[in-house]
Amino acid sequence: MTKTLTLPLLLGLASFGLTACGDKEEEGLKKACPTPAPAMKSPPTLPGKFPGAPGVVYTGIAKSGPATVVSGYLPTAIGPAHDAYAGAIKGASGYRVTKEEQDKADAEVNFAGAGNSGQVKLLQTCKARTRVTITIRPA
Amino acid sequence: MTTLPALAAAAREARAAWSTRSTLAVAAFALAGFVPLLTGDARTAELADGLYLACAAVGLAFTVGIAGLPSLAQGAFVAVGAVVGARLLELGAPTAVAALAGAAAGAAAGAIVGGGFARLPRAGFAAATWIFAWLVSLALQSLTWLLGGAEGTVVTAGPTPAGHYELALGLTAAAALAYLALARSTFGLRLAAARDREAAANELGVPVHRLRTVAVAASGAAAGVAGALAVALAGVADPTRYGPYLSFKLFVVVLIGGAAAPLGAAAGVVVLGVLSVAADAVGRLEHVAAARSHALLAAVMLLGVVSLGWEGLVRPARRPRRTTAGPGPAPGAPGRLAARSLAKRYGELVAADGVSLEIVPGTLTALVGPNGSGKTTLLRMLAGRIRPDAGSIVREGGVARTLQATAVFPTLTPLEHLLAASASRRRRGGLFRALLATPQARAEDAAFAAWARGVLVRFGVDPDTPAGELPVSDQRVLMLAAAYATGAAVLLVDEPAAGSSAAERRRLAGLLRGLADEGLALLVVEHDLALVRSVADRIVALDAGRVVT
Amino acid sequence: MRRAVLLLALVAAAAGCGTSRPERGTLTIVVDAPFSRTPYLGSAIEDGARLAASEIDAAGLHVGDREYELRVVTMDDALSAARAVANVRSAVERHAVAIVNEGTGVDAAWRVARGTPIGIVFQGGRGLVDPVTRRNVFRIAPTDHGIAFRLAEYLVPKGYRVALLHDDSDYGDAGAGELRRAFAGNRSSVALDETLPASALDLSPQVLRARRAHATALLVWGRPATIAAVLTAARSAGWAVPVYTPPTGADPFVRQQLADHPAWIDGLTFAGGRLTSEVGAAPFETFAQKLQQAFGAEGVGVRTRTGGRVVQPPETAMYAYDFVRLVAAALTRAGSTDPRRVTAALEEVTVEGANGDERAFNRLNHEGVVDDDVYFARFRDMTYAPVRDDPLSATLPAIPQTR
Repeated sequence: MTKTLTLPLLLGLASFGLTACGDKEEEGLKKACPTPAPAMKSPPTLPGKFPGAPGVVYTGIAKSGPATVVSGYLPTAIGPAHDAYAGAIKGASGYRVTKEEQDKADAEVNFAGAGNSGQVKLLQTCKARTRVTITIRPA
Repeated sequence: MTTLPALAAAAREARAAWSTRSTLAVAAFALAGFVPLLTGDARTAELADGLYLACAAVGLAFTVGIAGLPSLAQGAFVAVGAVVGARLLELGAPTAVAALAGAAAGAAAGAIVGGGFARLPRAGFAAATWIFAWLVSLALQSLTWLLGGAEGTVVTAGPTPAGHYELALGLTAAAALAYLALARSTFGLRLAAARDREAAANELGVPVHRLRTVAVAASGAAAGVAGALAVALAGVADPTRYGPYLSFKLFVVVLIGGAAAPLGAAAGVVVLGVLSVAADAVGRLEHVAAARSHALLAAVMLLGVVSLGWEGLVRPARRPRRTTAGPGPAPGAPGRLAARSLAKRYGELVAADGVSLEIVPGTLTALVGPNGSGKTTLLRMLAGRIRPDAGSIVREGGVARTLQATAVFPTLTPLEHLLAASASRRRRGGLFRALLATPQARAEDAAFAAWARGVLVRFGVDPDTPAGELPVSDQRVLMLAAAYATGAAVLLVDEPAAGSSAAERRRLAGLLRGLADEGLALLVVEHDLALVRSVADRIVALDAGRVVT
Repeated sequence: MRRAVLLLALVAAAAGCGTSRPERGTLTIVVDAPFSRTPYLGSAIEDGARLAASEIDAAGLHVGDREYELRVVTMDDALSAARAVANVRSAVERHAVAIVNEGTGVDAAWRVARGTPIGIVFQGGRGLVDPVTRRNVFRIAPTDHGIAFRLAEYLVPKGYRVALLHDDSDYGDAGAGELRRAFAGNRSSVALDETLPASALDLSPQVLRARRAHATALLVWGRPATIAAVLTAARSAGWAVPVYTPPTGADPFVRQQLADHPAWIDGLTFAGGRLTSEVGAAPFETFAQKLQQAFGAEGVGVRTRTGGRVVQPPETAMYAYDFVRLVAAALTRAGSTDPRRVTAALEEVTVEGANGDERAFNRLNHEGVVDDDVYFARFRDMTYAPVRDDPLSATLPAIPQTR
């Protein structure tokens, strides 16, 4: 009896574990958002007049060697955040999207324009907030 | 001669000279012209590349086969043409302009190499040209502005692969015809004479160094045009193609195919190409890369050629020379030679001490003396081969000397000896006239050939047997005939009767006396006093460098 | 009853004989690589292409209404641009549907390809890829620009005074140009900019110059032999300066050269295209196992301190594999083997790459590896693992490299 039950029991536990993992990610996306990082006093001037997505809140800007790294967030889920940035870049004069990819909780929008290239990395961290990290480097 | 009759005459001559070999060559080229109809672009391009290689190889064959210079710089000349061609093509110049510029650049490089190294012995020439090839290769790799580094210089598209193929076929044929024309011309004959015996050629007034420089320049031109056009074909000038291995490969195909025949080198390219296919197959079995298996194949073939004394797949054909009545060389003016107080020492050894003598037209002066008395040294000073330490020499009307040792050009016939010797007496014997085989040049060739035959009849020498196959006595007579053919007013003859039989001495005596009676000024060095007494107008005795009578 | 069954069987067999399956056509993919000059690279590209082709054949490749199988043909370009052009001509003559190339000769060969797609899977030089003028040229490999800029972004914040050392090979020269651009705004971070002779066996004088310039890090852009020579020069002089390199630092040759001094390799950090994706290491490891089963593991020729045989993760093979799979997808999408239609379709299809990442091109971008996917890995005991002090690298797992 014990032997007969062992395998189905193990399989059942395994499938529970897997769904639980998947569920964890989805649960993470559903959880309420904590207090965000403070916004910058004034919006930064981005190299090459890089376009901002509507509603983006900038929380910091730093140089990393030749690159400018801008951090911020959008108060939306990953899908609208991705659409916002892809749209903003495509709509900006002199800019183009070179590659874009969207998964369940993260997305990248690669771009080129105004003598620069780089990436907008989006990561949904909670229910209605997506972290934005923009890396802009000379082309 | 107007154009149409000239063309008709040329056609008659060509028909007279036509042979089975000519038919085969024309047929082969004609058939080869249809190949692009059967092959795709890639294969056609490969074949065109091979034909450009053949064009460069034919150019090299002239230097190796006729001039006797083992040049290992032909790949470097290809590279020079490629660099110049690439630069022009990159700027949008037409392919023809790039090709001509490549030819000029290759010729210039050849002239520099020939001018710089042609005086070296053969082994030294080979080594120097090999070093030159290495230097050019290193320059291409190090100076990226020359050919753009490893990615090469991309050039604009020109003719299609089929167009290049036909162009390359035509160029190879033209190169072979040029080879043939130059080899038969006095330019080629004098080069061959210098190849066989440089010292004897010098005595006949052959400007050996100048001719060799021109020969290397000509081969450089063939290589340069091939290099420029090969770049246009490939669409890129790739520095990795112009390493020393290219020079090595060209040298190997020339030796395999035969350096002495116009199409020998082209045949060598075909053989190497066919064997390379086999080498590829073997290489694939043994997991050896094609580049390495080809190099191995070329090295093995070279070893085989050298060790077996292989003379080439295609042997040269001897074509009889046309003779027609016509003005031969103009008779020379009488001349004389006067030497005053000549002195020459070699360390403690006194070779000449206050020697004065005069040789006047229509006379035969004999110079006698024991061995080591300075006779040959005196002759060399009088001929201008060595400078006296003191004294003066006045020469009027040209001086020619025969060497003490038997020194004919073994691969040339007596007729060719005289044509080479009389080259400076030509009015229409220039290089370009010979290359283009103008009607006037051909007419003069035929007239001089007729004159030379007459001279050889007088001297009793068979005009058409290669000199190396003649009896020694005939060879010594031929040396005299060649000196006579230079048109020099003064002949310096060194021991013409050495080792001769009585009959041969009588023959020589008759010839020498006849030359003096004709108005030449002769100085004859001889040990045979009986011969001397029978022919000489005056006898000068030399002992320890001094005139004793 | 028995007779009826037999009759039925005979009828069924006859019916089966009457309808024959249509024959599979063959499509050629040419791998044009320097097999004779860098056999390791050539065989990596070939293996990746062959693995992809065999998988595609097993699944069935339908182009239009016909089924095809892929045949991989190799050609050696011997690192010669002219040879590459000749190979591409030959590929076009064979009606190849794609050419997988390591990068040699593309500048000249792309026109001769007459629209046949060319996939560069190794060289990252600027200018090789241009979606506007060279529509048939694609690349799946990190670019020199990406490598150089990511190195600058990584090293400058550390406060290093970096000696930029590059060899005088074409690769070194191209990299030097990118490094100068990358460090242009941070010249104070550059202690020295020096050219190393690629053919030199001993680079002690140059390394000593870097030391005297008070460099606190060396960035060596050159062929594997140059990197090995710099490490030898520095470590044998007792200088424990950190050394950073582009992907050539991971070439097995470097470890082979220093096999007698494994400690000299420790700490060597190189930049390269990420091997794994956000979904984790499993897809890449699966790919590596499939490759190993088909062609054997690519041994580096060295062992770890505990005796483990070190193998090389198949990065270049992965790029070749992904490109062939993209070509297959493009063929299906185009419904045609016409080169120009396949090229156009390559800009529209997406495949899951060997590492689980999406691989795709588009009309504006023919680069399959974005600059931001460059990561850093550090050697320890003849194997390497992603560094922890770079945001991207810190998220990546280490790939098993011993057998």
